[in-house]
Amino acid sequence: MSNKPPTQSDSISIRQFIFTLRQNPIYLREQGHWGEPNSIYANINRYSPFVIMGALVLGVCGGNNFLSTIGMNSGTEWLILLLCIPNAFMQMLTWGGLFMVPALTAPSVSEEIKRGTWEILMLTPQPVHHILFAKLFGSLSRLRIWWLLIIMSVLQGGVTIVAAATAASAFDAVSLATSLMVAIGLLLQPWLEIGYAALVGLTVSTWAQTSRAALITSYSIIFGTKLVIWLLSLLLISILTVGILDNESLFTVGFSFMRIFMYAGGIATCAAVLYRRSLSVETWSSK
Amino acid sequence: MSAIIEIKGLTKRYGALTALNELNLTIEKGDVFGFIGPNGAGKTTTMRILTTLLRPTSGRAQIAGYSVTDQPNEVRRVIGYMPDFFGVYDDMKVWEYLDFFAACYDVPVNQRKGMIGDLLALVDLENKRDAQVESLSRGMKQRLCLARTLAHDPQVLILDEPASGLDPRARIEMRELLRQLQMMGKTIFFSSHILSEVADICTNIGIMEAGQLVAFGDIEDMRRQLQVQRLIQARILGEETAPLKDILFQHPQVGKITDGREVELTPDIVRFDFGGTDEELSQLLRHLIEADIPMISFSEEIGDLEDVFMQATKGVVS
Ligand SMILES: Nc1ncnc2c1ncn2[C@@H]1O[C@H](COP(=O)(O)OP(=O)(O)OP(=O)(O)O)[C@@H](O)[C@H]1O
Ligand SMILES: [Mg+2]
Repeated sequence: MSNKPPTQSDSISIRQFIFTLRQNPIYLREQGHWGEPNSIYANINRYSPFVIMGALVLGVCGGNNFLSTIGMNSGTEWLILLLCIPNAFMQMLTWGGLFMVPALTAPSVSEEIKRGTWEILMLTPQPVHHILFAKLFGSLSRLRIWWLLIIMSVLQGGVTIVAAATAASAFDAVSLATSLMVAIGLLLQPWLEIGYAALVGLTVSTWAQTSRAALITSYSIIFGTKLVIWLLSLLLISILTVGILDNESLFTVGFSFMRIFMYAGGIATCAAVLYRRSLSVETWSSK
Repeated sequence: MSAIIEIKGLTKRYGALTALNELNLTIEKGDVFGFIGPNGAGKTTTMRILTTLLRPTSGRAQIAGYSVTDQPNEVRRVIGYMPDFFGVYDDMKVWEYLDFFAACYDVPVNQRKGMIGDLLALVDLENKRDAQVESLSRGMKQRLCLARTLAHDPQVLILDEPASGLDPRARIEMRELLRQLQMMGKTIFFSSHILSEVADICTNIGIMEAGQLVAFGDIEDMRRQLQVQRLIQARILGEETAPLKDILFQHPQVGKITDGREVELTPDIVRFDFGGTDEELSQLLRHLIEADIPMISFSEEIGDLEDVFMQATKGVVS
């Protein structure tokens, strides 16, 4: 029973830490290496066929409405269609991710707080920010949409480049640039949305007293954000139809970037809150 | 003489409430320190400050020479902490629980198996190695939690009410375990409400009251500090207690004398308060026997330490 824990664990940089993540016990625990850490996810996961079906419907119906507003020559309609297929898949994956990701991250800390194991964990030589990273990535790695999402992103990126190259002669420089920006926006959006959902779950998790409360709060924030963005888009569209703003492509790019900045801002806020919380052990709720 | 825990002027306020007021306490290496006090006295607060989970408002504390506020990481490596509301992972097996925490303490995989075996043997849970933590009794969970605190072989164990919620048998087992840990050279700082147990295994006792240490020392010290009357119970052959009471009445150190009947005991019993030392008590007994009082038993009541407690704390809680 004699062991000397390494004394430099605090000075390990985040990069090294991520490099060794697969050996981190908290990461492995989150993946189910020792028992089942997240009964809520295990439960919800049983309904995943329904989630996939729901996501399919929402993804196909909800996606692409902005792509179709880009002014394009009728001759390039096949390109639009080509762009739409991976995007519809991405939308579907995003909806699925938005349902599943909070179920993974929201209980990750609140469950420990409820059981009274959080303080014990914090007294181990694992620094708090490492614990949070390990919990985030460990729990997310249980979701099996990542490879699909990467493949779809690559596909959509590729299609966008092909489309841009093919259509370059047919477009004027401005509409080519705006279309490209919208395409980049669409490429980033699923990642940002899911990342935002994951971080909201984890952040809420550090305050909640029970996993259920954490999950409900996270869903409210995530879908609340989506609702706000949707209402904003309605507002912008009505402004557009009234005719105050008459440059359609400018509007599309603007909206796409506003959405990206909102999610990026949300992610940055959550990260900042988590960082601040990781500095002081005392501020965490217990019991 | 080497102090392993040193607390100086430790104060913790929650808004207007002073949970801990200028606490001073020194604990030597190898001591078993029993930390006693009524609900809300500040025991858990003190322990949480020592474990670096809580920052004091003012004052300082050191464990093994490390400051709990300035060197929390060093402190965490020398202590093992068991919270009052102990945490276990219900979804794991017993060995998995220990394996996980050993991994958190960076114990290499090849050492863990042997270590888990040793720990389970120590807390007498070897036959529960593959049982689900959920299925353990409360006493077993508590012992498992104690085994976990030993995973990184700490010098100091800080145990918040390790015997709470246990039945008498489980309590005795816990006590034996603490004794064993003491023999292994650990310094143990634990809190409790159950005084008679504390008396048996502690080298030192501290009594807390509304955030202040009202008494500190070994049990004999404590009696002297508080000038507590010891309650003695004598039983004689037959019911003729008058000669006994006469002798007691004349003894300078005997206080209040109670007849057995008055306290719903049998009429052959007499109880009295005694303010003297063990030697004086022994002399009194010899005197009674020489005076031909037919003594059957002569004993100190176990409620004694509770009285120390009641006298020290006077039932005042912050
Ligand atoms: N987080 C908190 N906020 C406000 N007051 C608190 C907090 N924690 C403890 N207190 C108060 O501090 C005082 C000391 O509490 P503490 O838990 O240290 O007592 P204790 O001696 O451990 O009692 P018990 O025997 O019930 O465990 C109590 O009056 C309690 O109400
Ligand atoms: Mg307490």
